[in-house]
Amino acid sequence: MQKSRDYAEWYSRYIDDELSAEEKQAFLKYLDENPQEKAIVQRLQSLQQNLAQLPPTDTSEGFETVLRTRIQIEKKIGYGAIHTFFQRWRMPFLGFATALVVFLVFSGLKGIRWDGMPTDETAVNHASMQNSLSLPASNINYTLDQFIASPSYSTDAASIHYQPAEDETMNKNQGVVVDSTGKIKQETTKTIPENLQLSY
Amino acid sequence: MEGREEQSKGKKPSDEELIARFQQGDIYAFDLIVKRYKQQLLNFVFRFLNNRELAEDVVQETFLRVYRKRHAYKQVAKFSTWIYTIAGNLSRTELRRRKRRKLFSLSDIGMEEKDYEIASDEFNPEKYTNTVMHEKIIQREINKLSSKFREVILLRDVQGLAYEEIAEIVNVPLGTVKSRVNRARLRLQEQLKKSL
Repeated sequence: MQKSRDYAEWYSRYIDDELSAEEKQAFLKYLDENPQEKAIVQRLQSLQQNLAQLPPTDTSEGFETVLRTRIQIEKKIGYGAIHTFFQRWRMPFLGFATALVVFLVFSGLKGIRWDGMPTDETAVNHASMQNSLSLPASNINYTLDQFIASPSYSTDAASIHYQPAEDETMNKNQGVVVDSTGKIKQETTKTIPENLQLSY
Repeated sequence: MEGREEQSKGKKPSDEELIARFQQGDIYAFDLIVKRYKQQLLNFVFRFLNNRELAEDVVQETFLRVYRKRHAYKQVAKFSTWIYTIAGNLSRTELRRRKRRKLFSLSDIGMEEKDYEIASDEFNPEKYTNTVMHEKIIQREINKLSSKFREVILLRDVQGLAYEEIAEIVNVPLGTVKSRVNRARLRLQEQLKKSL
């Protein structure tokens, strides 16, 4: 007697009448010897009949009217043209939108608070930049904290590398006071000494 | 029109003839296609999605696609294969959408179970062997099958399509379809045996 699993794949072939005469004979013999398997096959046959006899589902009364209306609407608005346009430009548009979102997120993280106001650091950078650029080159004021935070300070016009002289003392604990307009108060800025080395 | 003349003579044009006429601009041929397929498509989609309203929307969309893409149909395949492929793809998309929605909707928890609840006193287990099985029980158990099994068993045993056609519709090899149908039948009869 063959194992049942060998015949399990024959169930559907038997039900669908796809077994050859020899196969069918062997299969029926196997079923006679295995009443449990025979019961499964009978249930499968019965299930197939029941599935075939499931009552059909009717469409609603207005089905065709709704369909015609939808077709008419599509014809009027020119679905094809709109659809083709969006299909063609979908990927470039998505790429642009993604790049824009990434840019906004990064610019937001770097300099803008989520409520839209500039961060303190940005305000300091912006104010100090304005101060330094509005004065003559020989009399440039730098904020002390700016130099403490970053030895190299760049503006849009040129990069200015600040290297403090050995005899220059810096008060690292000194804070920067920014008023409501974003300008830095004079007491928190320091005039560059004459022996300061600047490289461009 | 040509279609009306043939119908009045009692000739029944094939699906392929109808779509060919429709491709040449005969809107009446499209109407005949809709009349011929609306019920069987709804039957398939409804049993696949287990939601009448959604199923009707999907069938509407299927015909709209046929209307829009009529020139995409080539007579290398049977028209029924083509239209079932469209309906099957839309149904699968709808099923995925529903699953996603369910993931995010707490209110949906437990709804599926409620939909399937059936009064137990309606059924007599002794009648099982006499193939008296209620439609609702069968539908409930069909919906417990995975979508892969559900689709093939519906196409084969409810819609009565050939294995070759099903293989084209679900886009898998013929052997895979046969194996899936066999496994789906076994699983379904096992579930029905337990539920009755």
